[in-house]
Amino acid sequence: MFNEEILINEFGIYTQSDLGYFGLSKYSKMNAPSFLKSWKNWLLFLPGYIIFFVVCIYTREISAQGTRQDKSIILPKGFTAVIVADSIGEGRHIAVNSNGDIYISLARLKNGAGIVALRDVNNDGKADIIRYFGSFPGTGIGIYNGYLYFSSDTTVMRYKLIPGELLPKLKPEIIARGFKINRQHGAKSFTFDNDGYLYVNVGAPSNACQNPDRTLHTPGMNPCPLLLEFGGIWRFDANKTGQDQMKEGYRYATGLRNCVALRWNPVANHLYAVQHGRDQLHEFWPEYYSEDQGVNLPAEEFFLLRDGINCGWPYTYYDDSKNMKMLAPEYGGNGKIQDKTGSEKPIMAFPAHYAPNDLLFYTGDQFPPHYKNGAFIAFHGSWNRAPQEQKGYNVIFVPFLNDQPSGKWEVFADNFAGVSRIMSPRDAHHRPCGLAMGPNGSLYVVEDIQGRIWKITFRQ
Amino acid sequence: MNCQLPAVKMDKISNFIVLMLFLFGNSENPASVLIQYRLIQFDRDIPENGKLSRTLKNGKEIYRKFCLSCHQKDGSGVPNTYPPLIRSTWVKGNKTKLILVLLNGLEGEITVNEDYYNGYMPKQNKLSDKKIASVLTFIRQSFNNASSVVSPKEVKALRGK
Ligand code: HEC
Repeated sequence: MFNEEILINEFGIYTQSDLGYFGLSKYSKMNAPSFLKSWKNWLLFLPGYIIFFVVCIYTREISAQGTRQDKSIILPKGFTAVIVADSIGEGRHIAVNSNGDIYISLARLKNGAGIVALRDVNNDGKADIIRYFGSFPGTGIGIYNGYLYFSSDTTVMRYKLIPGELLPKLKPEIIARGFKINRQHGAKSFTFDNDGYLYVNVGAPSNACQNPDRTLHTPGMNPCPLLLEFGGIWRFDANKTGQDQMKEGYRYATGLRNCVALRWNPVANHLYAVQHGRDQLHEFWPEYYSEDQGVNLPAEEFFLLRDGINCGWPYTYYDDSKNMKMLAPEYGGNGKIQDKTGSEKPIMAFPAHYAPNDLLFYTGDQFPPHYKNGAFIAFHGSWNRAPQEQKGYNVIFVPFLNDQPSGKWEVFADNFAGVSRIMSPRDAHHRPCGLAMGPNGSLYVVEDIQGRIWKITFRQ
Repeated sequence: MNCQLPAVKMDKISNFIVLMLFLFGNSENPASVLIQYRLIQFDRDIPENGKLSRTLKNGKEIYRKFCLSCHQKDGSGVPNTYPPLIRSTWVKGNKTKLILVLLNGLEGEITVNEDYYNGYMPKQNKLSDKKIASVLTFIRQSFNNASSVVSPKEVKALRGK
């Protein structure tokens, strides 16, 4: 009658019935009244059970409806959010065209497609038309010169946009290829400058260039051979088809572990990126880093990337409590030795393991002047803070003056996780991943758990 | 008959709490209630119960040091990155396959609980047979799994395969 799982091992025979879930497994041992010994008599309780369950579920529905708003994201005063669409797939990055049409890349195929196109016909913020196209999953997406650019983890391609139509021409052209398959940090996020160049993030398939990677006490390969093909930003001609990473591609910046958050700042006219800092200092070097240090180190670094720059991965990491670049333990560091190679320092640092997944410079006029030309950063949220509470899972703002931050960073949108304590990333209902600005200065945020898109607007 | 596995012992009060949380708590995601419950379980001491509880205690320590950061405290893993150990057929099923995941590592496309992963797990072959056996026994009897123990002999037989 019950689904019994019987286990036989050297310690004897155990059975665990489904009843065990409800604490009833002990009854077989207890001296229950003889009335209860026959299972048939238990059926007498059945109506009571059913009524109890119906009442419980009904109450649950009501309370869920009453509190749905509490779970929405928290914004500064004057800002409101609408949900543009929900459950569109695992949304990664987002691009909004000048007519308001929205395009989102997906981490996994949904309805057999890797890109979602959305249109709001009646201007209420909510998508009325949703279409799927493209045969590959991926991360990068952007609109440039009448084309929709998209990247899978191995190729950057573009689709010709048709004026007035939501769907582009469905046959893509390849712009850049030859990126090796990469099981860690594979996202080829990209951005365009003002001079016809395309910049592509080529993350390192590694944590700290150990071989084998992510293992206790393994030294780093020296020099790290991965830097030849990975761990940097590669630049391409944005308008030329069929380029290969190692032939036509130019390594613009190196020593970057993975910069999913990569964006050209059109006002300062520089490239910026926020790096996913290395993981697991405590797990692999417990004699140098306590659990707390592993949780709080290293800082996530925000870089201004000039041509030819070296940001130090895998030899260094950034300690924000000391404001110093430190030598990585894989290369002889112990948490106390400073880096002497002169690798680039960040322009700002964020708490460890927050996982920056997008960066956007706000050039719109809708938001208050405080936000003008500043940077929004979407943090996907940590996993390497376990066993302590996980953090991030928010969108923050950094005010800017010219090409530098002009003040402290502040949380802009919060509570994406929807739970008070995030003990495992799996607890979070949403993990912010992509940012875009709409034609009238609204901010769009997309996330990759449920596939929700928010449009954030400011009203006086 | 003894109806309880030491590692999956569920007392009536905590079951009642879980049931109530599930029914009255207004989480959009009932699974997260279960996950939170399992966290409580991880923090709870393993009951004294002879040799098996010693194995489980050792296994839990190995798990904390060598597995927890990726697979998380409650075995739930990280979406799209680290697969869960909760109810995973990799964990509950064939021991040979499971032992080889630890001895040789795992890379490439796999399916866990009908979900797709394409990642890299480092091999754990520097751990002794006894340590591998105890951590595998621990994960097979935690996180809502309830499968048989893995012995050091079984691990030894698969080294180098
Ligand atoms: C660096 C992160 C990392 C660590 C540490 C790690 N794993 Fe894994 N594990 C993974 C990844 C990634 C996969 C999936 C590999 C793939 O996609 O092919 C995996 C897969 C598995 C699987 C099979 C799939 C499943 O979810 O059931 C088991 C079992 C497993 N790991 C157990 C362990 C145990 C036990 C330990 C500790 C001794 C451990 N892992 C340590 C990352 C890790």
